[in-house]
Amino acid sequence: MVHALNQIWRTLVPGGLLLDLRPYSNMRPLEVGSGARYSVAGPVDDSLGLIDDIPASAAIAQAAREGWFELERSDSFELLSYWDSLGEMIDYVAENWSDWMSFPPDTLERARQLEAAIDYPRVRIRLNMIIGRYRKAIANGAR
Amino acid sequence: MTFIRDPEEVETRFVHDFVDVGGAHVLEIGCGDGRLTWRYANRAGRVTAVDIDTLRLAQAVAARSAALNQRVSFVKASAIDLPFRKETFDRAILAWAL
Repeated sequence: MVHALNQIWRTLVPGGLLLDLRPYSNMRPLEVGSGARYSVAGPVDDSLGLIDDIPASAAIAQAAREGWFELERSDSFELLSYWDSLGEMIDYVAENWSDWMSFPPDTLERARQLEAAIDYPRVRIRLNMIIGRYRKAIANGAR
Repeated sequence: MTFIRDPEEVETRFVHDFVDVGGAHVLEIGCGDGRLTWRYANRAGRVTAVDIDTLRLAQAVAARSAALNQRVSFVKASAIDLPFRKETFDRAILAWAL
């Protein structure tokens, strides 16, 4: 990760900007509903994502310490992902996010109950995102 | 399968609020199928989007509109070995890639 940041530093013009945008693990809720009304079925287990979150944050911190980038602004926000059914969501997660996301049995059971009780249900996961803007700085140690 | 990420375009609003890509040469790392690329590319001067996943890059190329053909290019590359000269880009976006 630090090598990637060094590469980005190299390819940016002096004073260029880096935008770091990524989800972070925080026991996101799984919700089932329709229209504007959604109910929480339970938490999603995204604790394995910490395996990536911690070194990613450490890499950014190291890049700042090395003098490659200076943090100008940061924030967090929620991003929603929707599926047309619980089954579709389970298949998608298994195919794309299985290395960092799984579902506690209680959450899945509650989601199934909610899905069965709603006409035209949709399923969504609320992702927690962080965003940071960094400006390229002059660094003696970067190549 | 119907999967929709961020139909409210919250992410798009944050990206544009945080960085002005107007007229800039933008490097996007981890572009995948171009989902985020299409949300800012029309404002950028040029976009060079990289990913290591050949299949997802092919999806991005297939989804590229004729209007963005000259402005957006996709390159298979790793973030730890970017095949570009120094000081090429005005902006870099790490899209879920760090």
